[in-house]
Amino acid sequence: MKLSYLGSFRERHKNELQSDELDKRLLELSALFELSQLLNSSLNLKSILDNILLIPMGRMMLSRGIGLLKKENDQFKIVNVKGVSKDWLDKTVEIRNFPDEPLLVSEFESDFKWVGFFKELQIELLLPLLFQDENKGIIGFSRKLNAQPFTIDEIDFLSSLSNIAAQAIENALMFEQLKKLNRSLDQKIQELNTLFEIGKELNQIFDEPGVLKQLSFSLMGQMLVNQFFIVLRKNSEWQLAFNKGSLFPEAACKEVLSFCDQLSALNKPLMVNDEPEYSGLKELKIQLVVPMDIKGKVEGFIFLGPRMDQKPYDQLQLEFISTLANIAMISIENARLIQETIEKERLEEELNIARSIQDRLLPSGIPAVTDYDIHGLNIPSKQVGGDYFDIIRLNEEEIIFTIADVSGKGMPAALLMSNLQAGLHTLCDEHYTLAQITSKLNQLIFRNTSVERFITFFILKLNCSTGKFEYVNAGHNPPYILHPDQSITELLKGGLILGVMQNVHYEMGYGQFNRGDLLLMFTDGVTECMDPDQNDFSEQRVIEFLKTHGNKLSSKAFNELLVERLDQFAGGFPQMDDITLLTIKRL
Amino acid sequence: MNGFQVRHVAKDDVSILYLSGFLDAHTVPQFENALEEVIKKKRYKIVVNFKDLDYISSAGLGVFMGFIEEVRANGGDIKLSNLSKRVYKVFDLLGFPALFEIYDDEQEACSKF
Repeated sequence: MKLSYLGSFRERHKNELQSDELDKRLLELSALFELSQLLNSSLNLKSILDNILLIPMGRMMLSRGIGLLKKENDQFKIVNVKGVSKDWLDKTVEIRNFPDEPLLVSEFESDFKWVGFFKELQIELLLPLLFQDENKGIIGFSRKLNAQPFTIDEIDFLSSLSNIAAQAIENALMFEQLKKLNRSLDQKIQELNTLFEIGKELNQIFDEPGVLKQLSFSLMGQMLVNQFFIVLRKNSEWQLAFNKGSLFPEAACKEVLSFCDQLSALNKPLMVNDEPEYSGLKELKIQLVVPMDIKGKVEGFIFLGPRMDQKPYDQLQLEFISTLANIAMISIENARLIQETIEKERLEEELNIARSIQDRLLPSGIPAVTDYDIHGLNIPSKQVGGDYFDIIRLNEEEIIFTIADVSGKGMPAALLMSNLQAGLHTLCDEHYTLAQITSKLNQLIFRNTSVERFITFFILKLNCSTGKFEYVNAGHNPPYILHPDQSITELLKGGLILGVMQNVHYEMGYGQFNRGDLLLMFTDGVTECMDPDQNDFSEQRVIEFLKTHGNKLSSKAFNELLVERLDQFAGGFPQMDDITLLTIKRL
Repeated sequence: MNGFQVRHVAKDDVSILYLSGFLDAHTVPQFENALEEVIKKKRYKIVVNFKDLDYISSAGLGVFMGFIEEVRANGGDIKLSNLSKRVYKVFDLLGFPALFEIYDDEQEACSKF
């Protein structure tokens, strides 16, 4: 296209083109045109710099060319050399007071240092790259190989060329800067995407290992690091929660735990430097410490080793990693709260089951027995205390009353109670004495439980028509019999609590239950009922109560009043144990 | 939402993993498991073919970081091939080309072991 332009120009101006001089001038013009098109269509700085040196060198037989771009102040950086040692590339030269027009070094009289520099490189012609009257750079060439001086026309030509080049260079520089800006913008967007994505993802993860895993992927992908570990504060102690990479085996990570208290004053990421206070961290190859903050309190840290590309951590990335750490910390806290809630719900559920087991083990109704007023009640505590009472009718004449307190609470207590109940009912059907029954129950419980589980147990067999009774007390609170004359009998005979020794001999007690007598069986939930000052209700108050009300009230009214009295005593203070009462009056 | 799939094909001693769909924080565990499977079998020469992968997030790149140390310590490598422009851009932005070998096609990647 350019040739045809040149061709048609020749055609049109045939007559005017007489001298070689003009012809040459035309060639130069067309070269300039060509170059300007070339340069302005390229945004590649390197190719522009190459062209503005190579085109003149080729046309004018110049053996050396140099290109410099102005940096700040009067510093010029050598960005391209042709025929000059490449060692000069990227070197900076200070050039003050460079004129706004081409200059010939050999004719330029001054003692500026840079003049000597160009002389040394055998550069003769220097041209400023002017863009909007501002010096953007300099190109320089050696003398011509044929030793002819530069003509005015040639200098004019090169001058025009450098003006065109200045524009192109400016464009290319702008473009590079834009590209750089674009890239850093893209990187910021990528960071934001990562934060957005992990935020979204973490909302669906409710366990700590899951959160830490997500955190580690985002960290590795975004920061190019695969050497790091995470420490979290758990029950006010620093614990290693995650570690990755060969630099940080568990033992190495644990060495850092002792630094954590000191580091918890951090409110932003810490780049580990050469300061002596960080020498411990530096020795362990930790380069960056990122506090994990929740509600202004540091509850964890990410310790990072070197990046995989060995580049130092960038100040700009710290903002990202800090945000990432805090997002993760919130999720970890949420996960903890959720686990706690689940655990609580599970316990609640377990207690409900235990409560319903206990409920089912207690007698469903009180048998009606002529001449006797019988009433039993159980008020389970929140934790389900493992109290048990039972009324088993053996035949027309005989009834067994029993009360027991299983050690422990909740499900284990309920299960053990269920064991006891099943054993008791089986044994009652056989013709064993109470001592034998108790002894066999002891063995059963001993076999089926660990030593720290045991049962206090009281069993009494009453002949309804004669009022004769026998009993065994295996470590239970002694029941009281209140006689009409206000005297009290304690039923103490028996032996050791059930479940702690394999073979225990139990002694039986005997007695006579007369008209007007009241038998009160109870569990330690009564005597150990506590007032807000931590005083026990105690046996003494039970006896006082018994003496005051025992003769006047029905068994049911007696039991209910006692519960009311206990409530008053406790004064709203939550009770830890079940309350169980079994009261029998002979009318 | 686009799912994510990973398929393992053994070619001689090179394991090729074909990824498709979206590899993000949500699907990352799937990819992690697949890589873990391969490495458990002591196959350390791995090429990951991205031909049908539409999207990758930083978390996806994190998986590569998580395994590369072990793989290289065992004399292997994870090489990447057939990245779409969009996927390559993410790798490039995060500086991965300096750390991982990236090839235009799978064949070429396999031949570099």
